[in-house]
Parts: sequence; structure tokens; C-alpha cells
Amino acid sequence: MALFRRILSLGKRASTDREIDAELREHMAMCIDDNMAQGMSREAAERDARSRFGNPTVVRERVLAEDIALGLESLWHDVRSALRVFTKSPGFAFVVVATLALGIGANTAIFELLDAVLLQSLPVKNPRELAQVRVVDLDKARGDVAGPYPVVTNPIWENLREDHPGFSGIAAWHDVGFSRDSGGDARFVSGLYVSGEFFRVLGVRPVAGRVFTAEDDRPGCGLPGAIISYGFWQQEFGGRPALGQKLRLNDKTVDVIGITPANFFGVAVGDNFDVAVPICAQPYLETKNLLNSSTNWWLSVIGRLDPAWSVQQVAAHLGATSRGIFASTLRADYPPESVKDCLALKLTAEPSAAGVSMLREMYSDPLRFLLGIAGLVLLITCANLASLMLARTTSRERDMAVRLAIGAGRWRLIRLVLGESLLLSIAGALAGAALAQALSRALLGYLGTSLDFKLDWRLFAFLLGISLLTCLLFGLAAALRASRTSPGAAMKAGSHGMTASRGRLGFRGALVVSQVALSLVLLFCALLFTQSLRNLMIDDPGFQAEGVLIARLDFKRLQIPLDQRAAFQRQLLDSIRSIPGVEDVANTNIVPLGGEGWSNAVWVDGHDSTLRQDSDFSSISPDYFNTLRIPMVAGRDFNDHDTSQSPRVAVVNEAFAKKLGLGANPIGARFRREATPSSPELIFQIVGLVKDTKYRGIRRPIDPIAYLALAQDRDAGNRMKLLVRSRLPMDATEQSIRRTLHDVSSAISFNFDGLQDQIQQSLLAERLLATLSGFFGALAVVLAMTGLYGVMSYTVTQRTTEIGIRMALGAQRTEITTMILGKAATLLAAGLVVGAGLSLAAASAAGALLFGLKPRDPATLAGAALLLAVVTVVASLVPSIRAANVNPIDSLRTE
Amino acid sequence: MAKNDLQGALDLLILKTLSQLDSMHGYGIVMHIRRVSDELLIVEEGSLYPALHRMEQNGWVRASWAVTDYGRKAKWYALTRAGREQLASREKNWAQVVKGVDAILRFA
Repeated sequence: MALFRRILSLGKRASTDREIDAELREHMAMCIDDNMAQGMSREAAERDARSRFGNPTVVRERVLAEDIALGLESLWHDVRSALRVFTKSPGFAFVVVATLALGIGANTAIFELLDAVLLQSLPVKNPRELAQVRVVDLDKARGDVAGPYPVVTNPIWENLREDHPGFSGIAAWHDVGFSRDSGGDARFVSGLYVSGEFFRVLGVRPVAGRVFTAEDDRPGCGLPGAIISYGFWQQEFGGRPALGQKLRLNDKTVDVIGITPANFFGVAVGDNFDVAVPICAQPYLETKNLLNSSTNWWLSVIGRLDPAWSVQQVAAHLGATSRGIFASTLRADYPPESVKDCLALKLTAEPSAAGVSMLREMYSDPLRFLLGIAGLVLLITCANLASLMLARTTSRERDMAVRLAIGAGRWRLIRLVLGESLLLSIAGALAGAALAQALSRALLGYLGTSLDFKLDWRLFAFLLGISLLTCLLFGLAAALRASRTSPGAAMKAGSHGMTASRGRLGFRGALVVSQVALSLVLLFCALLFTQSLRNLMIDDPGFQAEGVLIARLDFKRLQIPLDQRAAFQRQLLDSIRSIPGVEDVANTNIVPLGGEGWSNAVWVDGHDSTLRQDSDFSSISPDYFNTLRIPMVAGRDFNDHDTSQSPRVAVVNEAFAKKLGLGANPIGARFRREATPSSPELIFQIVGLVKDTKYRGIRRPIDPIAYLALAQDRDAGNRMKLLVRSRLPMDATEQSIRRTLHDVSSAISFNFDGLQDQIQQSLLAERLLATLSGFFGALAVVLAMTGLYGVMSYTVTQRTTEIGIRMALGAQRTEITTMILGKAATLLAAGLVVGAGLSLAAASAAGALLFGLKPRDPATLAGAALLLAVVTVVASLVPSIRAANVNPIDSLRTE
Repeated sequence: MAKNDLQGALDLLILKTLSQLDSMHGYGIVMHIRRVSDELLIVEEGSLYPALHRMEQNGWVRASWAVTDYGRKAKWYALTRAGREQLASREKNWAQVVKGVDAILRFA
């Protein structure tokens, strides 16, 4: 309270002043009155009163000190005087603020991204109450698993919907692309299948119309309506009334019945939805009905906890009832031999206030690491600025000495210098915050995603913390230095003595050592990540992706009967193959390194099925190996004689042959593939052997792959994924394919991607790490360079007289240069030793992010150290040469 | 153990004076202490006013401007409830200090 009153009285200092004056004046007057009443003359009475009262100014100041928070008032005074100092030397202020802005801006931008991806809660009612339901070992489940998020089958979801102890409400969702074209270039919207209660459970109220209810989500509902997002409303309808408007989704028409608020993007951070429809509409919108399948894992379940339950209790309850839930939801389509495994699966619940996010999976580790790196850069920046402030304070020593001599307290001087630092760091933080906006937009553009950046309290706390911290880091040393000024010594006329004070360089030396050490860490990390990215980029996936175009075709609108589809697909392949410039073309159901995968257990025919091994699969057309330039080791490629009537054949890679123990020549061997939900156990004869290739991702090791003939697949689909190798540029090939397909039918929809682009895209996180850490590493080296340069120049200036004497006594120029360089080398060596230790510690944290090299790679560390050494030695050459050119006469004359 | 040091004596004198006089201005406080102590205790203005203002900031006394019997405008101070509580604890403290000092002096 008292402090509060004092702060309040800050604003009315003038009136407080007047009041104290009046009070003291009246006191004096009463004293005089009394004296005169006792018979003194007026003069004598006044003299006596004054002598009793003492120095009125001192009394007034002491009273005033009680009334106002003097500390605060004079801090403001310090800031104002600091402002004056900076307007006098704008260059210095600009350099400091710009450096800080860069450091703080980089930190803030990465923090913003981290905040949006990792920390922020979903923009829904009481997000802390949300929890998601997850199958613990989903990879043990059989069937098709859709998407990167935890999922269950629709029968499991319906079971949870009917009985969900611990949840006051529960909802399910699945993200999907709905096509909006009617042939030609494919256009998609981001769709959501949601359960009837989805919006109610999340507490999302529509800005117009209504949201779904349980009534909308009934089996056989058709397409009862669509809820669109605010963003889609703006983009599609320009914000005009949209209720009752029609939308085309997957060639079906639907009415818009509601619009969600602007801040609601769904449950997946980074994936904004456009249109939501009820789960019951799935069979109506897609050809395959997933509602009764117990092998299609596609629905994510999120619920709102009952206040009486903790998430642990719910998890325990789900775990205990899992067996019953799985038992009652398994349908006949589940492979019988896997039922036992399925019943052993467990459900659990996890807090889900921040929703789910693929971005989080991909980027949380890289982002944390980058924030650490950016923090180090800020530290180095502070070390540099501390050096700079220290130099300034030293040059203001006389000013400080005068202040001390006329009675300023040492604490007052500390505050004076800290006031300057505070002003600089706040200016730096503000500029940094502005810069961060631009930087984080650029980062988002780079990642190709959209996120909502909110200026929330976390960001403000971060900015405030970071500016106070930097202020202390770079200002404190200078402030303490200023307070230790010895007035007598500083006031003496001599500007520099015979030898420089060792202690002073000692601290500046320590700053340089820490700069070099931290720079080494950053440079080492940058080199590690760059090498790791390079390893990933030059890693031989076993095929040539360069020059291959992926064309995804969808011809379901043509409604070609199942038995004619294979022929139609062949016809499309032939017409594309005949395009001038096209060398090879193949069809596949899995594009390698695209993140898709399909694997099953296999075993050698005649062996016991318990000797089963897992293998990846691809169904391909003839020419696949030619198109991707995968060398054939033995046997043959598929050909037109491999049909659904002929015996099933397979081509395998070398890893497959090795894993199944088939020896160097597996041609002719037969293997069995386990029964899948859509087909019984099958036998394949190996007709060809190819070299190994990567399948799911570059980071994964080589796995066994069995290639099956698409033509032998019984249910040829309505879609094709064509790989087209062409001599022409991608764009030209794309145009030709468009025309060719259009000639076949305008109802075929398609889209294109470069295979190489798609692989590059999968390395985005690595690229981000390499690029940013490279940038920060370079920045750190420049800072270390300027730091060492500054300190060495300072040393030379301080020691000019000494050097002059040495030269007068016969020292050679080379000796002087060696002496100065030796000093720099000592600092450098100390920095490198400390830095090497820190680097090794940092590297172990980076281990999981690296590919193809050990985190403690000695060659990389040596390279980083060498680079840093060369750069800093060059930086200290200039001052050393200047030292050698000191004219002894001149330097002694200045004394 | 009496926590208060001897310097707290001034605060005690002022608080006690105000409790005896209900309300008084600074000069009156000085005169009261001087008179009652038979001129043994003379409070200096340079200590009195900072102490009064500190007590005001701490909420122990309340101040208002009023006219004295002799027609001068002065700032009058009066105890608040917190001030009375403060006085009570200071008096107890002081008794202990006196006892302690006395014991030291009598030590032979």
C-alpha cells in the first residue's frame, strides 16, 4: 500500500513540494511567534528559529524522500538523461538497437512459431478439459490407417459415443479432401467428417445458421448439410449471405447450413478446414462405405472430461474396458488370425488442450533446437554489446569521476548506466518484435502452412523477459565498472598509463572467450545440420527421381465397370507413352518416398507361417523399374502376359531375398502373403530381382519390398498414380498430358507433382534447421570476429605508450606483432577449448535430428574450430599490424 | 527479545504524543515533548518531519490542514487505527528495551 501511494504521488511532485514548503514555513513562523511572545526582538526570534531548524533545504529533501518513491523518480530521470546521451551519439545507439533487434527478432520469430505450434490451446471453450482417445499400439492393428493422427474404426467410435464414462461429451472427426471440380485439373477443399455433437462438445457456436446436432448424424442421412469455416465463407462467398447456398462436394450437392467463427480452424493445428459434413455422409460421398468396417481406422476421437474425472482416471477406465470394446466392435472383415492381437490392444486418454498437429510432430524438436540456437546468438550479441558499453563507460570515466566527486552514490552511477542499457534493450525489443512479424511470416511461407499468430501474454512475457535479460547481460558489467571508478585516478590528466590495467582486459577477454566458445557451438551445429541435409539430399534412394513427373488421375466419373478398368488403365498408359518426349511411364499404387506405405507379413512357401517377416509392398505396372531407373539384377519385369488369369508373380528387392533367406538367386522361389481384410492368404512366385530402394522416407533404412503386378489385382480402382519420365521440361510434359487426357474424356480429373519436388518437400524440417542454423552460425562468426577485433584494437590503443617504449628500447616490429597476435591467440585458444566442450554437449542433444553422421563428429568439430580460428586471426591481424606501426616518438610525446 | 532498536524511540515519542493530544501539528509535537520531558528531550525538526511523513505514508497517521489557535494554518496530524496498534506494540517493545538496558547497566 505504502509503495502504491508513493508511486501515485510521483505524478504530483510539484504539489507535494509546495505542501512541504508550506508546512515547514508555518513551523518556522510558529517558532518565531513563540520567541517573540517571550520578548525577543523579531530579528533575534528569526535567528534563533533558523538556528534551531537547521538547513531547511536538507530537511525539505529528506521529507520529500519519504513522500515519493525517490528511486522510481530518479530512474525516470536516468532514462531521460540516457535519451539525451543517445541523441548525442545516434550512431552508437543505432548499432546497439539494430544488433539487439536482430537478435531479439530472430528469437521472437522462432518463439512465435513454437508458441503457435506447441503451446497455444485450441480456440474453443475450456480447452483444458479436452482429452483425446488413442489406441496405444496402433501399428499392431490390421487394416488401413488413415492420416497421421490417433484414430479408431467407426464401430469403436459408435461404441464410445454410446458409453463414455468420464467424458461429459465426446466427438469424432476425420479430415479429408473433397473434390470440387468436374474433370480436368483437380480442385480440393479441406473437408472434415464430424460427429453430430462435434461442435457442441468443443463449444463452438456458429456466427450464422446452426451447427450439427446428434439428429443430423444418423446412418443413411445422405448429405444433410454442410458447415463452412469463416475463412472459406470469405473466400468462396466473399462474406455474402451463404446460408442455403449450394456447394458441390465429390459431385454431390449440399446446402450450407452454418458458418463457424473466424478463429476456429478445426482440431488439427496447421490444417484449416473449409467444409464440415456429418460422418454419416461418408458412404454417400465416397465409393467405399467405411461405417461398418472394423479394418478402416480413420476417426479421431476427442472428448470433454467430466469435472469429477481426471484424465488419468479416464485413461485407466478405458484401458480396463478396452478388451470389451474391441471384442464388441470387431466385424467379420477382420483377419481371423489377428483377432487375438486386436483384443490385446489398449485404449487410453491423453490431454488434448492444444489439439493435434502434424506440424508439432515434425517441427517440435527442430524448433526447440532452433530456439536454443537463437538464444545463443542473443548471448553472443549481448557479449558484444557488453564490450561496447564497457568501452563507452571507460571513455566516460572522467564524467563518472566528476559525478562521484560531487557526491553521487555508487548505486546511483550503476543505475545511470543500467538506465541507458534498459532504454536500449527496450528499443531493441520493440524493433525486434516488429522484425519478428516479418520473419515469422517468412518462416510460415517457407513451411507452406498457415498458422494463427496471437499476440498473447506468453509473447509479451517473452519479450519483456528477453529485454530485461539482455539489459542486465550487456549493461551490468559496464555499470559495475562505472561504479568502481576511482575519482582520483580518473581525474588525473594522463590518458593512458605505462601499462594497461590487467583486470580490465581480463573481463573483456572473458567476454571474447565466451563469444568464441559460443560461436564454435553455433558453427558446429550449423555444419552438422548442413552436412546432415546434404547427406539426405545426396542419399541414393536407389532410383532416379530427377525428371520424373507424378500424375494423379481420377476417372470415377466415367463409371467404367470393374472388369473393363484394367483395359482402360492400359489404354491411358499407352496414350501417355505415345506423347512425344515421354520416355517411360508406369502406374503404381505407392509413390516411393511420398510417405505412403503398405506392408504385410510374408513367409517362404512351405515354411511354417511363424517364420513370417514384414515386407513393404507396391503394386506396379510393367516399366516401373525402367521409369525409375531401378536396375534389374535377375529375372524379368512384369509384362502384358501377367494378368488376373495367370499365376501370381512378384518382383522382389535384394533386401527381401536376404531377409527371407532366399540366397543370391531367388528367381522361381514362392512366398506367401498373410490374409488381408480384402483378400485371402496368397502365394506369389518370384520372377525378378531388383536393387534395393528406399520406400517410405529417406531417413528410414532399406527394407524388403515385394512388387506385385497391378494387372493381377482383382479390384482395379478408379484412380492411377502415373510416374512419367520425359525428356521435356516438366511444364511441357504436364501440358501434353493434360491435352491427352482431355482428348480421352473431359471428366477425368488430375493433378501433378514432381517426384524430386515431393522428396525435397519431405526434407523441409531438415532444410529449415540447416538454413537457419547456417544463418545463425554465420552471424555468430561475424559477431565473434568484431568482438575480437574490438578488444584487440582496444588493447593496442591502451598499450600504445608501452609499445612505444618497447620499440624505443629496440623491439622489432615482428616482435610487437607477435606479442599482440599472441594475446589474441591465447583468447582464441581458450575460447575454442571451452567451445569444444560445449559443442560436444550440444551435439548429443542434436543427435536425433541428424542423418548419416555422428553427433560428435570430430572432423566437423575440427573444421568448425579451424574456420573460426582463421576468421578471428584475420580479424586480429589489423590491430596487430597497427601496433607494429606505432611510432615510438609520437606515442611517447602524447604522454 | 526487543526487536526495535533505540532509533525507534522517536517514532514512539511522536505516536504517544499524538495519542495524548488527539491531534497536533509538527511544532506542537516538538513543544509538547520538550515541555513534558522538562526540556530533557528536544526533537530536531530535521528528524521530526521525515518521521511524520513516513508515518503518513505508512498509514499510521492522518494529516489535514487546519488553523491553529493563533490563526496560523498548519498541517495537523492524528493517529489512525493502525497508528494506535503500532503505538501499543512500540510501547511494549520499549519496556523491554529499557529492561534490557537497565540489566546491562546494573551488571557488576
